[in-house]
Amino acid sequence: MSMGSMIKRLATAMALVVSWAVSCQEVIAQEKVQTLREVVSTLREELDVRFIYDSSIDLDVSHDRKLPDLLQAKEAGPEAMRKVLDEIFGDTDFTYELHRKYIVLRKLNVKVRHYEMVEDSTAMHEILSESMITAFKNRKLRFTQTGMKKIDNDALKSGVAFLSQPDLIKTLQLQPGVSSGTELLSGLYVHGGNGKDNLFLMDGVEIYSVSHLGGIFSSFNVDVTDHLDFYKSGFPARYGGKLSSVIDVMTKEGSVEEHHGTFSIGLLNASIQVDGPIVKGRTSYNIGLRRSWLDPLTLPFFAILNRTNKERKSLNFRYAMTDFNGSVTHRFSNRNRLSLNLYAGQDLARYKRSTALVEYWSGQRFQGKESLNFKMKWGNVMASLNWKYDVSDKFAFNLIGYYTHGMADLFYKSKQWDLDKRGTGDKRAPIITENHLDDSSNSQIHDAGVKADFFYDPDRGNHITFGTDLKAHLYRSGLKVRSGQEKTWNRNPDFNGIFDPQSEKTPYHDESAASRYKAGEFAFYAEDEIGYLDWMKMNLGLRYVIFTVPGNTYHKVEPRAALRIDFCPEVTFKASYTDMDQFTHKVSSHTIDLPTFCFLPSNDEIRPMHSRQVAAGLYTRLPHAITLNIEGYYKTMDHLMEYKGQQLFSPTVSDWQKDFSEGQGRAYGLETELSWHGRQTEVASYYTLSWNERFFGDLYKDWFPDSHDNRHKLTLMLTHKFNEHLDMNISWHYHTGDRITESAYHTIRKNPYFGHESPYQEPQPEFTLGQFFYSSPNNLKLPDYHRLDLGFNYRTTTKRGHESIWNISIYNAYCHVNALHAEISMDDRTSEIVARCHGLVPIVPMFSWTLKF
Amino acid sequence: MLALPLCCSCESMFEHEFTPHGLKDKKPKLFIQTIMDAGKDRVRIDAGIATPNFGHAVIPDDARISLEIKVNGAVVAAVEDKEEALIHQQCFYIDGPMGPSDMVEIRATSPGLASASCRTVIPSALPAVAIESAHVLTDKTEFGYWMDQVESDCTRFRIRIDEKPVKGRFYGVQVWRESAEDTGYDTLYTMEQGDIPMSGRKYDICGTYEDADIQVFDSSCNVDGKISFDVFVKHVSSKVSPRYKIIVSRLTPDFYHSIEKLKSLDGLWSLAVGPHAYFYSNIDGGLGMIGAKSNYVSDWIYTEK
Repeated sequence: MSMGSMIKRLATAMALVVSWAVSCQEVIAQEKVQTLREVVSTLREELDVRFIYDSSIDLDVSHDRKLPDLLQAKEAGPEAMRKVLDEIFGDTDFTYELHRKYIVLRKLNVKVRHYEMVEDSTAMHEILSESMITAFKNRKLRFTQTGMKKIDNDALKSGVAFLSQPDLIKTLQLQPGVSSGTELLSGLYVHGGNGKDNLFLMDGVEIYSVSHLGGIFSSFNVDVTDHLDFYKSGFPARYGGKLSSVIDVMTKEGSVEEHHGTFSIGLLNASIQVDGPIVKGRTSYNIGLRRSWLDPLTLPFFAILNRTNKERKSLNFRYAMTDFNGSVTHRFSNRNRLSLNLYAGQDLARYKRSTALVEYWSGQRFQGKESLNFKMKWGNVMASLNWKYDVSDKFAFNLIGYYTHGMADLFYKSKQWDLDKRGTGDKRAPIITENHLDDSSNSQIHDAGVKADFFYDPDRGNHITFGTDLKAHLYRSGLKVRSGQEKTWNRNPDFNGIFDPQSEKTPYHDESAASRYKAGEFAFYAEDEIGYLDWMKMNLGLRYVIFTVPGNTYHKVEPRAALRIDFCPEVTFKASYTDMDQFTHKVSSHTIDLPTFCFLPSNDEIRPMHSRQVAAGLYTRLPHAITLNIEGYYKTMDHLMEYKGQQLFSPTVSDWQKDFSEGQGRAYGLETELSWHGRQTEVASYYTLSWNERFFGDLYKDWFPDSHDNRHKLTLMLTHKFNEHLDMNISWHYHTGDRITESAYHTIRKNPYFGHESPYQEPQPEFTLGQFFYSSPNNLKLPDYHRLDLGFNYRTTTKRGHESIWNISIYNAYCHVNALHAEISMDDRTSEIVARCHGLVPIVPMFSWTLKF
Repeated sequence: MLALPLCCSCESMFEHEFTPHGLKDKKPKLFIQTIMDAGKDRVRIDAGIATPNFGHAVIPDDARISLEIKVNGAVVAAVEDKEEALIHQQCFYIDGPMGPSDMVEIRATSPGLASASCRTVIPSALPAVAIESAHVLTDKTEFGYWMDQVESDCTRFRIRIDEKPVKGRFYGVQVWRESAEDTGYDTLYTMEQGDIPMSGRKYDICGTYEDADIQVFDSSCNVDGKISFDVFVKHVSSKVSPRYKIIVSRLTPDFYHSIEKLKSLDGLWSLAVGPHAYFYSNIDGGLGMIGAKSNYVSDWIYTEK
């Protein structure tokens, strides 16, 4: 064989190999079938459209339609777009609806529940404001329940961020029908509630400690929150256990495609959130962590202060807040997923003070020390395993096993030192006394249980939901007080100038009390959403609850009903009726959220609280993207509890029910919501006219206004996007003042010193105060409350393509210091009665920086 | 930087006067204030006209109050004490002593004002009362002083009443001391609630009756099925030779609750963060309080041997 023929053969062989390789690639390319996900992704990028699709659609199925010329479709307009979509989806299992830049994708002949529609992108907000999507545009109209608001993550983040933190509860406080209570705090007084009757759920599990820093922040991290459902009335039968509202918070599932995260730092704390795949396409994680960073700063500050203090004093203060959210979700398929959710939040406040004392007596030096050590700790831990399975298009279920634990601890220790130079009797030597006091209290609630929810759609006119909730409660409270004394005196009674100490310690005076209650709660519910007529839907439900504690078992039947009538696609009438019972009481002796409460169950002396509420409203979508909703409610409450004891902070542990009075409440009102959504601007106004009254017969003989009987409440909000970098939000809040009890009458008497002043004294008034009389509870209305909040977001993109957001917010921009409380007194000089109010919160500017990666 | 000048400019807003609006109480009202003490030969009744705090109501200088008093349905004469220089208020006395179950009804009138009326029933006498004394060290402090609880040398009087605890029965105790140092009602040492600690221990309910400390109890204070409670006074040494009389009273619920609620209205309770403050008034159409008590007075108790 010659060289030439060898080369020829070699070349042929190489050509054969190459052609084979190429053909293999073609085969591989052919075998790498285009999926629906890729089609959606391509259309999104090329045509700048968004998809909303039925969550039962498996995006990873093959979709082998060849994509037509997309560029032409983009430039030609809607008709060309429809042609493209017909080519892609015609004669397939899918159907589409095109609304400007939104494409709603559904499976043919499959009925989808509205909450199962998902979006294929997280950055939906700006597009939603300009698009009219069948699934979402009349979302509020589509729900049967009155008083229900769905708030997504963007809405939570778009308001003014107080202290640089968007806050879930602060967002809810803006809603009509909700009073916020004490300024800055996370009070939620819904339709006349007392703030302790709201059901907070995180991924279906109750959270008991819902605020940090005494109520300034809520325990819900907005970065990990996907959306929340807020109910003020018309509660579905699957909810129960609290009287006034349900806040059902769902956290985000992590992305199964790629890792994302958000880092944010503000004036008081920093937070980080990361999510991403563990197994791509199957398992994902989502972690959020918040931590206050004030204590690392104050630590060196106090260290320097104490070192340089010449008065032998030391002072230390520390406050730290931490919360952690974690979830892992595994998708067996699009219909079957398992998720593990964890939450842990804790607040710690610590105050330490000590003073070295030196006294001198008769040339002798006596040294002692006084100290005070105070610690408060409170928080919540929650863990749940959640299994969601869509068995078929008609049947699905959701099982949750959970544990949740709320706790509050208080610890106080003091030592006093005193040198009595007088001695006793004939003894001229001093006596030194040291008093010790240790005081601690704690309160815990543990819940463990299983929940099951089943969804069954037998036909197109019936959506049946039924389920159970079985849980065990453990309530523990305790307190310990220990006090003692040590006395030191001179051993030699004939004092000769030498102090020869002799000490005696008294036995400690110990006192303790503890309570421990176990309770079981079983609830079964069933509800049916009946909608055979397109223009009318009814939701009928029943919830049956058994609550048992040693010595008592309560059976409660709670009917629920809701009705929706569509007069036309843009006008809907709704009405609802609900019964709710509350068996667990958050017992506290004050109105702000301090960790000095106890969780205690109903017993033979304290019956479960109960409420009945009817609500009705008209919900309209007017031309030019204007929404107008008017809703009225009437609510009665029985077996309410009002504290009448003597403690300012911690109620007593034993016999606690004796310090509570049982009574009734009623609340009624009218709420109006008017909003307009433009391309770059949103305007909303909420107005509430309401009455909120109480009756406690052993305290006062007639109905009286509740503390938060705010007759008028008005909120105006404006959000405007200047460009892709800058947006702002302005909100103005007004409500008539809260109510307090103060004297209503007085008597006067002659001042005996009048006209008899010495030359060095100020002139005395002719009359002085005799006494004050009180006429009725909550008789005095504080001055009306109003404030303006401003917020600006400046967004840029970093070199690495990450979004950077600078937020500047001003709380109470025109510095109107709203009254926190008031008192009535007689002016010493004029003998006039004056009312004086005291406020606390001035203008508070704040900023934060957020990085999204 | 923006916050600083704005805060300074609104400094005066942190506390300022205001005129309350929407008040219901705009007209003067009659008040009656009295405790029907079964042990007294003369019982004092204060009645007068109270001025609304706001609303510019004017009470004529010559406004007078008339009282109609009935005991067990029979009208009794009330004598006005004109020695006291009071403004829009008059002091009356009726002769006692009252007996258990006597019903006292009072009606006050004044021209141009709505009348006020009230009634009370003298509580039944106490059954046998046993009192023991002991020198103890306890963490109680002088009533009315807002201090941390400190260990104090106290004399404890343990009072046992031969009566079963029944809900709705209330009791009060005052301590009279005679010693080489002084004579009068003694200061009671109680578990006072100070600024701190924030203990959940039950605090003693103590008020003032006739310028003296009175500690009040309800039927939850019981041991072994009998009413039992302790009161404490400052321990004094034998050199001052103290001797004590303990006045144990059965109180009407009105009297008890008025002391309880007056305590609630003191000091910190006016803060918005505190629990709702309540008062107690059992005068129909008016203000004030009518209560009653029947008493058991002990023999002299010598605490030092």
